[in-house]
Amino acid sequence: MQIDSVVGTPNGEVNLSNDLSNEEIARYSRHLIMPEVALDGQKKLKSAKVLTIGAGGLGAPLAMYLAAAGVGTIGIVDFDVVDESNLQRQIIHGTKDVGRKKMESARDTIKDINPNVEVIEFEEALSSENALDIFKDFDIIVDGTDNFPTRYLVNDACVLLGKPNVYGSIFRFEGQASVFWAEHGPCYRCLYPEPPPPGLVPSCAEGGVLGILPGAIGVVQATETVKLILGAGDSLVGRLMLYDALGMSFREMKLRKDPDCPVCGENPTVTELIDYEEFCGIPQAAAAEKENGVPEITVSELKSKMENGSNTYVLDVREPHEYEVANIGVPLIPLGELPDRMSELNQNDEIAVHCKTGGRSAKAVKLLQDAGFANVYNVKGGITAWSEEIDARVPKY
Amino acid sequence: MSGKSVKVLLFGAAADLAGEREIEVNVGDDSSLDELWEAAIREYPRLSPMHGTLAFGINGEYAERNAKVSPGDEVAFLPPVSGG
Repeated sequence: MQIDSVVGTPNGEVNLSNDLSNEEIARYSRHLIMPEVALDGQKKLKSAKVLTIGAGGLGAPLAMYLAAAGVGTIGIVDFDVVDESNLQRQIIHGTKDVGRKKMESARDTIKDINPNVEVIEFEEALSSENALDIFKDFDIIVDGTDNFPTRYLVNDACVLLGKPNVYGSIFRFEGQASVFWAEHGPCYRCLYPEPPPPGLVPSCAEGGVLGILPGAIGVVQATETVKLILGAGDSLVGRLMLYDALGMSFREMKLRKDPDCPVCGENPTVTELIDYEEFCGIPQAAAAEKENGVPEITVSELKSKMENGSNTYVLDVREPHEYEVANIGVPLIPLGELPDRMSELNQNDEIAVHCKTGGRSAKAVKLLQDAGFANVYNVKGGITAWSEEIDARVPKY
Repeated sequence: MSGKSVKVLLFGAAADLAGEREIEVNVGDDSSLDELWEAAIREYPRLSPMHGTLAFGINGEYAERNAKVSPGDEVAFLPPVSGG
């Protein structure tokens, strides 16, 4: 869909006070010689204000390319700290930045790429209380978040303010991208009216992600952002792009605007921001987990049991490829195989089950209890807690 | 596979649950997406909890659950993805 530039006056003129310096003209030379960008387009880029939600996998390449392209103002919302496990894909941060605030590290990289860019920092969690206020001064919002509540929040805030939401998301070897803009097409809720129940769709932290993947998708988001600023080409409005890195294929699905959409439909029922954690069932799931909780043992309790010669049988229910990365020398039965391999365990033993952080082992404890094992415990925090609190020689992954 | 089969492309968590990225599902001539879904989960029961969560596409276009599918169509099961 062709859409006019999001910046400039209604008749398409760009504020002439935004003249380019000689340094900028030299810097943007490869843009200026293309008629699709040229001086007018470069001035539009300089006038544009783009907000990226998150300086993580998607936000990193996005912010770097937008800075290099000459987008004048880049806002970033992020309150996280750079962790070693980020470096495999979040290329805006380097090894020296581990432990620093992502905001500071991202700002330094952007300024290094292009000192002409103004960086506006929002070092806070995006919430229903602050979202409209943060979004209102920006032309385009780019969604690079890593969780469903924030994705619905970004969508609804964009619909309420009439702003385009340049969407991207990633999982293992696959990515999706689109431009949700209710004034011209569908919004995220037209595609996914209901969030998935917590735990059904794994996050990158749970399911993993190819480090290069957010590069591919973040760059698609950056491209769509620049096209919206220039008013050039066919935008992804009304289309969902699907990328499969393993098959190396791009597909697309035509979307349709849902006339009954609760936020952008004909008779909207969501007319202000709501509680998105509640909407996504997060507090409900936590309460249910507490209610149906399985008996737990901490890593330090487990360690003293093992040292005191207790006969506690410790079982690892992760996958073999994880066991290869880190293990504490106990038997392995992957969760998926447990129902068929229970005969390998003794019903009368005291059994402590661990996984990476405690989720899968809780399911294993439940399975064993249901099968008649009476004395089974979930190791709280899993091998990650063991590595952090008991034995740092066990690598944390 | 018989000539009455529909190719179904699985994405993300749906592909992981089924253990396949592409499956063939047999349907009658005048079936709906919902009927195709029922046939698919008979073969791949682990997909079952995904039902309320998926978006469906037919031949590259978003489709409602009551939409008709015919042999030869290409259907997509698209779970939402949150990672960033």
